Amino acid sequence: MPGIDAENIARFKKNAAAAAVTVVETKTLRQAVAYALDLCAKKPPREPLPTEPLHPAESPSRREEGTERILAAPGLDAKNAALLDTLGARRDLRILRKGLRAYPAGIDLGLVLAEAGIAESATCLVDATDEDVRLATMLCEISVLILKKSAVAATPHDCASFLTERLDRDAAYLACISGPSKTSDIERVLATGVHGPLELHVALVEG
Amino acid sequence: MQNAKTMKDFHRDLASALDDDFLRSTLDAFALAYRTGRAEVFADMDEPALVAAVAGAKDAALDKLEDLYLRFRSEAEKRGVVVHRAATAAEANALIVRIAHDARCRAIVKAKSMTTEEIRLSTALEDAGLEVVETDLGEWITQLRREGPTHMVLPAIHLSRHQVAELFAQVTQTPHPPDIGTLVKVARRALRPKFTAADMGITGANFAVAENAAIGLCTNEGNARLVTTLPRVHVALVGLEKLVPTVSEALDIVRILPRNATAQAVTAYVTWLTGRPTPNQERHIVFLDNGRAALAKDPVCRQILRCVRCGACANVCPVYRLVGGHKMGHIYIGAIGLILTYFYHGREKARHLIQNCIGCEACKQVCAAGIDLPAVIREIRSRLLEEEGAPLENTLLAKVMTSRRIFHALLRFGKWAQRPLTGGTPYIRHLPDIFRKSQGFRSLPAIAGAPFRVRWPSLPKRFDGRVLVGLFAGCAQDFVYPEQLEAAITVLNAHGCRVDFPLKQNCCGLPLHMLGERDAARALARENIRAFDAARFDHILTLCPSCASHIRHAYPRLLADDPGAGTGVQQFASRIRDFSSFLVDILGLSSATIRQSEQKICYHASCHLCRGLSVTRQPRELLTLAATYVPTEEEDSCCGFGGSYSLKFPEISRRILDRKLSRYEQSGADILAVDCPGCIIQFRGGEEQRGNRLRVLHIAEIIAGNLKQENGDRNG
Repeated sequence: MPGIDAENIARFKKNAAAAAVTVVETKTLRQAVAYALDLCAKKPPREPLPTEPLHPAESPSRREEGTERILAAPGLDAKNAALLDTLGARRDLRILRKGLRAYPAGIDLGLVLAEAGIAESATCLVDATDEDVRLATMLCEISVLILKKSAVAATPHDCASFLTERLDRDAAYLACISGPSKTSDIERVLATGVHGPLELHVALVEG
Repeated sequence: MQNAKTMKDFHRDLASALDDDFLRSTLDAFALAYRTGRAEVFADMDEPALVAAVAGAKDAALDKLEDLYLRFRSEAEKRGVVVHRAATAAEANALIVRIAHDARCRAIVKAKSMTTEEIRLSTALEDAGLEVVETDLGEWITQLRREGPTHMVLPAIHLSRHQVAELFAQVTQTPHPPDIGTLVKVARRALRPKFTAADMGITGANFAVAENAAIGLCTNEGNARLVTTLPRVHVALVGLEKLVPTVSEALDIVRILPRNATAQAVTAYVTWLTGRPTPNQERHIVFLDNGRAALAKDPVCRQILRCVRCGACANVCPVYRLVGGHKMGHIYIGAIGLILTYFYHGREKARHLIQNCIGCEACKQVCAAGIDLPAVIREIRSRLLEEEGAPLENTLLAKVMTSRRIFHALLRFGKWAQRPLTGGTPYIRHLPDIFRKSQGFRSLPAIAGAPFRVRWPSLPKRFDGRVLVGLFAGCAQDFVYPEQLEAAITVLNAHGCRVDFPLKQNCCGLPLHMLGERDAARALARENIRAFDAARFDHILTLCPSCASHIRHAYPRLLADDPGAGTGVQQFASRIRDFSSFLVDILGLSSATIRQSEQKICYHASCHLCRGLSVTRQPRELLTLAATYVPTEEEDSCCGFGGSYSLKFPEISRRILDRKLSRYEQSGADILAVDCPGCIIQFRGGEEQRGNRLRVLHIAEIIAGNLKQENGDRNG
């Protein structure tokens, strides 16, 4: 297992801060998951966008009250998925792991595992070939990416073999994510959330 | 969009942009912020190495474009993606309309793509009855206004929040406050249902990787991710030149593009995708030729296919900064826009546009792919002349200037002819009305009573000098400012130089080259090479960086195919030197011979010195030796002269000059030091009109004036 390069981690954190990305460091994956749940529970309920279809499990009254929060976490292994369900139930959150196409008008928080990181640009590489993983990072108001510290490389070229290996497959959708959805199209003033997440949080996990 | 049929129409269009105060202030603010931000974002990187890597990779890819295309197609087809190739814009439009009809698509969402703008794809789709919605915020705004983008990366930079609020109020039938955060949310709410309702998503691509048929999309908003995910059909329109062999070359593009575009380390999203989005979705990749394959074989202009569409050439262009993208381009914008208009949209659209380059080389200096944009612009001017014939004034000028005797006789005649106009002053005070209206913003200098070449025989000379220097005078200093050359000779004599002035030298040829008169420029290059016989000298010195830059860079290119030029051209080009670097690097000037005066001096770095010759440190060292140097902002931005540019586009030249002089006047300095006689014509003329608050001097005059006495006495 590759070691953790402290210099890369320090650079990643510095460059993330410059790009308005929140970085938290946790010892375990469980703590990172708990961080995401906490963030979701405390955030204001999402602003419903027009033409939002009602999901079968969704209660119209709660939707009107605007109190329900949805956390989407596709791509977790069985153990972490079970953990998420248990913790999520305690927090009164609805947890989705697939079928995100039914929520085009938005979810509160998307939790996804990143497979590699780049210190030079504070980038997380997410294999988003699974459509639900892709949508979890696109449709949410807050995007949380979990990244192992040992997977943080110095420059994009250090990730070339990872990219090449995945793109060699029949289909691949690789997302290099370095910030929330943002625009400076009006008077060059930076504003976030024009299409996707308003916030990006990266949980850097030991190991 | 360029719709001007005549130069008069073109000037009218420029005037309308120049009247837009918001546009000018926003572009000013952007230019300043970009300058600082870019320096910061490249601070930890080896920028020249990255530029060289991108240029090298792109050049290598252009050599095997067909192979890369075939490899891409085969890899894509293996993955169930349909690859098309369109020879022309019309063919590409028809193809995409057919894909839409075949897949029974009705509603289309688009991500930003200059290539789709190039072929006016949205118009073609709408004409075919399809609904098209741009989803990039800036593109959506310009689409709602039924206009094109004014910047390749910031399409709506010309609009204020108030204009956007009014527009959104009309579209949503609800008033919105002019608050940017609110307006962005209005777009989010309005556009999300468009993504879900769309049958087809259209994107461009920042690169296309042959080895795995991946395309890459760099976006900040994330709209391209939704466009490539939610609709049933995805179509990517990709210029052939976007092909690279492997992931590695694409990574260099990803590293440089956002840094150069908006001074960002990276875009929020870089998406790499290959194969079909899901087994139920279709993906089509349409490669657009539209002249690219032929251009890849053009020895001079193929370099423009290296362009990564960062828009940096507009960000630093002094003309773009004044008139914006609607006037500084047709579809493509900035220096690259001037060029691509000629190749992709034809002579009609390019004819006037291509003249609107001041030649300051700021674009060349920042180009992500190392494209020599000014050289290609000059090349296109030459081709236009060859294709359409030269205007009479060009032909006359070329005839006169290539005959030294006639040219110099005319200049000497001018000394007499100008008398009624100068009133005995060093300026032409009584311009005819027709000129005064446009050119009156700065006084034009009078031709000197005796040109340098007449004064030369009687000037003091050293025959014991250890450094043999050939002096290249340049027309402006020979005939307008001979005293600057005399000042230089005083300094050179005092520092052990033996100076010679070959009398058969002529104009360097740059003014004609800028007008596209290539043959005349070649003739002048040959004439000067013969006149100097450069091997006789240790150095050839000129006080005009424009001449120096032209001789060093353009002579070898102009005479590349001339067997008669031999080694003379290389000897001449390699020996030519500007004044400041000669004094500092060769003569090693120090406080031993220069006294520090009480003067406060601000500095203008001439385009052809700081960019053309990459000399930046030495003039500032000289000024620090001789006076108190007062740094100011944007010292290296163009003065607005540009030779014949200021005569052709006085409305732009004037505004550039005014901004520069206002800043210098506010600096508290009493002298403005300049390296180039062209800039001196502009600045002195402007100051003459503004009340001479600053003295404008060539740096040679400043150094000569501050020689320590014993050195001055040794003169001669």
